[in-house]
Order: sequence, then C-alpha cells, then structure tokens
Amino acid sequence: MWFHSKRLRWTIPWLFLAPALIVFTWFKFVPIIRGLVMSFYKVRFSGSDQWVGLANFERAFSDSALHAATLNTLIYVVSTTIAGGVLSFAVAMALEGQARHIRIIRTAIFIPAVTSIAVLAEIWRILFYPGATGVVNQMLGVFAIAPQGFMSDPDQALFIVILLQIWKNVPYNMVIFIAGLASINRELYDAASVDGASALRKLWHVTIPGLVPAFSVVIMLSLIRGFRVFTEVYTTTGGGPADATEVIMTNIFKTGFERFDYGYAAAVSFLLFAFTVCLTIVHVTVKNRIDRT
Amino acid sequence: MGSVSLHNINKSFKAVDVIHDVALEIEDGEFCVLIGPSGSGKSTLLRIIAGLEEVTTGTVSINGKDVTELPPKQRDIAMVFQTYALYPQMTVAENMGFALKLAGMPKAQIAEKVRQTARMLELEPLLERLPKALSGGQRQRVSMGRAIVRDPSVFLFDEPLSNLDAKLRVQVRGEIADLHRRLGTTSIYVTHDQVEAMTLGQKIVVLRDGRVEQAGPPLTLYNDPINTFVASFLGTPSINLIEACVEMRGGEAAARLPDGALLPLGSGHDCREGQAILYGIRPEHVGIVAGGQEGGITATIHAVENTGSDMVILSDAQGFRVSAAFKEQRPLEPGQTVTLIPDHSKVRVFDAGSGKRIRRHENS
Ligand SMILES: Nc1ncnc2c1ncn2[C@@H]1O[C@H](COP(=O)(O)OP(=O)(O)O)[C@@H](O)[C@H]1O
Ligand SMILES: [Mg+2]
Repeated sequence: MWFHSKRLRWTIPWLFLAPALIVFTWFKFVPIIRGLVMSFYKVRFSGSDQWVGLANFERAFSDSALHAATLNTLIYVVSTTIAGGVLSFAVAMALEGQARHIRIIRTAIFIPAVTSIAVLAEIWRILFYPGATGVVNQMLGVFAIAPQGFMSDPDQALFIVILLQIWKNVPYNMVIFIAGLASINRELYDAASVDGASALRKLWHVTIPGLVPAFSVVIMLSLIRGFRVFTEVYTTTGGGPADATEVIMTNIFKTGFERFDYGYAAAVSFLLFAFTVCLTIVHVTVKNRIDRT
Repeated sequence: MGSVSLHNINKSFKAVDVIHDVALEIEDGEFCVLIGPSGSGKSTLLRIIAGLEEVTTGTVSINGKDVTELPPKQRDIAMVFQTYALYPQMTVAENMGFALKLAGMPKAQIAEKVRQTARMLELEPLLERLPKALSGGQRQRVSMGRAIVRDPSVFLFDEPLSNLDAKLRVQVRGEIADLHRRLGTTSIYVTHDQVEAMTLGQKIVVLRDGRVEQAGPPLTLYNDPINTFVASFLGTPSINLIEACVEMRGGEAAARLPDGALLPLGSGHDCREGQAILYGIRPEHVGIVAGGQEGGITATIHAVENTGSDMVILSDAQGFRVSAAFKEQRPLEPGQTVTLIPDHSKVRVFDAGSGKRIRRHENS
C-alpha cells in the first residue's frame, strides 16, 4: 500500500510543515543570510558592492556613538529587568489573593500588554507632556514641584522610556508569575505553617524557590526584549533628545536607513544577534545547573 | 504526651457547611483513624486539629488545653502530608531540622536530633540528598522523620500512603504501626482505605458528609455497625445487603427474600410483621454448597475471583446478588448453580428506609 512506503511516511510531516517553512524561508531565513553576507561588504546603491572583509565589524569596536547607545541599552535592560521583575512579582502576589476577584483591576493591569506600542507611546506623550499643562506635571504641581521636561530633557528621557517598557512588561510577567504561583504545592505552605514559619519565611522558603522557573523565564524574556528594544524608543523619543535615549537598535536603524550605510548596519545587527544567542546559551546553562543542584 | 478532644466542631466554607457538630475524644497514645468517602470532611477535620483551618464554632483541646485560637506551631503537633510537602530546595537533613531551626534550637543539637531520627528510619545515607533524588517511599519516610524529630504530642497524617504503590503501601503501613508501638505518640490518621483503617486504628471514626456516623474499635465497627453506611464502608468484599420483608412466625422473625426464600432472623429483633428491611450478611459468613437445596438462597455463579489465598464468588439469585468469600480452594465455576447458606447468628438487620440497624435484645 502506498502509505506503507517508508519514504512517504517520512515525507508527510514535511508536507504539513511546508507552507510555514516556505514562508519563513522567504521572509526570515533568506533576509538573515543576506544580512550576514551584506555585513562583509560596503553596500553601494549604484554599481556593485565592495568587499571589505571584517572592516565593518572592526569599526563597531571603535564607534563611540554605538558605544554610547550600548551603554544606554545596558541601563535600559538592567533597570527594566530588575524593576519590571520585582514589580510584576509584587502584582502577581497581590492578585493571587483576594484582589483577583476584582475583575476591573485584572483588566486594567492587562491593558498595556494588548495595546499597540504606538498607542502606548501616544499615551506616554500625553501623560508626560513637558509643558505645565501635562498630566503628570499638573500632578507634580499639587506638590509644588516645577514642571519637568521629561522626554524633552536629556537627563530624564531614558528614565521615562524605561517606565513605559516596565508598564508594558508587567502584565506579561505577572501572568507568568501567577502561573508559577498556581503550580506551587499548597501543602508546602501548610507544612511551613506547622513548622512554625512566619509569612516572610514562607515567602522565602516556599514561594520564591517555587518560582525559580518563572523568574528564569521572566528574566530571559526581559533581557532579550531589552537588548533588542526598538519600537518603544522609536515611537516616543526616536533616540533623542541629544541621543539621550539612543539604544543599539535605533542606532542601527539610523545607520542603515538614514545614512544608508547598509553593510555596517548589517554587521552591528549581526553582532547583536550573536550576543543574544550567547545570552540564551548562558541562561540555559545556568538554569540547568540550578535545576541539577 | 497528648489527648485530643473536639467539642461540637462546625465548619463552613462560605455558605457550605462541611463539618457538622463533630465531637470526639482521642486518648493519650491512641491511634485514631478518620475514614470516610472522598469529600466527607476528613482532611478539613484534621486541618482543624492542626490549626491550619479555623473552626466556625466549637473548641479543640490538646492535652486538656484549649488550642482553638492558637496557630499550628503552638499546638505541639506535627503533620505528614499526602504529597509529603518536602521543601524541594532543602536537603533531607535541612527538611527534617527546619522546624527546630525556626524554634531557635542550637545547630549542634538539631544535627544530633536529625541524626538520631534518621538512624531510626534508616535515612542516614540520604541526609545530604535533595528530595528530588529520592524515591516515593524514601520521601514518605523523610516526611515522617520531619514529624518525629520534633517529638510532638500528636502526629497528624493525611492519607500518607496514597501516593505509594500497593506493595510499598503495605510495607510502610507496617512501619507506621511499628513506630506507633515504639513511640506511643497519639496519632490521628486520615484515610479512605478501609484496610489501612482496620489494620492501624485502635479507634476508627467513620465520617459521612461531615458527621460522625460511628466511632469505636475496628472490630466493634465491623461486627456491630449502627447503619448500612458503616456496614458497607468497612470490609472487602463488602457486606451483602438484601432487600427483604419481615414475617413473624410464632414470636420468631424471619426474612422473606425477593426470590421467596425464607431465612430465620432469630428472636428478639425489634421489628414488626411486613417491615421492609435489609438483610445484611458479610461474604465470609455465607456458606456455599453445590446444587439447589432447601433452607438457603439458590443462585447461579456469575464470577469467581481467586487471589490464591481467598476465593470470592459473585452470584445472581432471583432479583438480587450475593457474594461469598472463603479461604479454601473449591472447584466452583461461573454458570454453576449453588445454594448459599448464611450463618444465621451473623446476620445484621437494617431498616430499609433509614438504613439504621435493627438490634437484637440480648435477654430474649
Ligand atoms: N478551602 C475550601 N473551600 C471551600 N470548600 C472546601 C475547602 N476545603 C474543602 N472544601 C470542601 O469541604 C468538603 C470536605 O473536603 P475534605 O475535608 O477535603 O474532604 P476529604 O478529605 O474527606 O476528601 C468537600 O466538599 C470540599 O469541597
Ligand atoms: Mg482529603
């Protein structure tokens, strides 16, 4: 019978995968490869591209604008990961108890996660409007604080964009934490009560150890999102003012699509990609080691 | 050591009443088993004793001291959980010593106590392992060790064997019995397994829908159940309860079974002519002879279950089923016609409506 043929049985799964594979190949794999190839060239729009070897990569290590953007990205990543993680853990703890029945709170918390970034950015611009009529400035006015520049002030802009990212990430992280909390064996809390543990000790000896997998996922996602951040920055400050919020991706975007330095932009993108892969490998290794001990 | 008394315990979760007026006295050193079907409130009652659940009304006393308002750690109890509830990030030794550490005991003393207990339970080689590196049986033993090391007045067990395979269950059951003999600590043990209840309990408390149906020594409950619920809950295969009708023959009561057989009940039963009853006879009190015969129930064998040590015969009479159990091997096969002869002195009679036992007056 035809379906008994070994070759056919081996082919069928690939036939099912084919549509997705073709689309992915065309729109993802091909551009990735071409990007990698491009990073070894000086791309010219008239005439043929010029092979430059590793020059584009070497340039990345002496590009002070890129270094400034990298530093901003690091600040961005570390603060969104820590503050976002802690905050979403706290919200998850709060919502796991009685407050979870208050539907409006749950909904309100989840809204930023399902809203497009363009809308969130607009809300942020309205809230943090630098003039005296801005929403936050009016609130500060109640406490007799002078109107702040926020996203137009180079000293504050990065902080305000970080706030936006935190606001957007908290709901996702919270869902991961709530799922993690639900998977903790209730009897462990009972055992801790019988052992005489206080609420704080239960948090430390039961809740947090039980949430290690959740923390791991949240941190990893937050790191990856942070290093590749683009939309949040591009739609709010565009990297300004005075490059105060310039991050790696906005820097690459400008190099590529404003200065049309495609080859160099591709090289930096590839470095970022390689770094993200390394980060994932380190994370998985660390996680496995924790799991084994 | 510790006695436990419960007075008029009621417990509701929101609008649902889960425990109704439970009163119970457990003596110092006694092994008390709470048994009942799933959802009958066994765990809730145990958690009330532990202090993990508050009562709605009523009082809990341990050692004569009212502990109703006290948190678990001030009740001098230790608990063994169904899932063992070992802290996954702590070694066996840390798990066992955790309560002592929280109580502020010096490190050296904790280590010594943990080692002693570990030796008693043969856990010494495992002390530095994490729970996930242990088998189910070993985890169970560690969770018992964690309870024992604290030397409490009362041990509470919530279905501690239900996550073990059948063979291990029998073994650990024996170990729990041994430990109780050795330590003599008051123990309250929740199970839905009647074999565990019968083998471990000095006192068995049968719960149904949050009420105590009957409490007493295992054999009293087995031989002298107060209603059909208790009678059928204890014993496997379970008691035969055959619908019947009382006929009085010169002061002696007899039961007319659906197939027309008339079986004597003996004198002194508190019943009247025509009363609908359930004729209760345990399978091991049903004799069996091949072929049809007067004075018994004629039936056809439906199935034969042979475990090697026991034979159980399931048979169909006209309109009802009867099971019989015996130790010796006999050449019986499905489809065969047999006569079942109940041991009249072992018959237990229940009212068909209420399920309550109809007792026999001793003096008549
Ligand atoms: N925290 C709770 N909230 C609401 N109902 C509960 C809670 N705990 C137990 N119950 C209910 O109480 C009844 C008895 O439960 P439980 O004591 O766990 O029974 P058992 O241990 O005998 O199976 C069940 O109907 C159960 O649904
Ligand atoms: Mg239970």
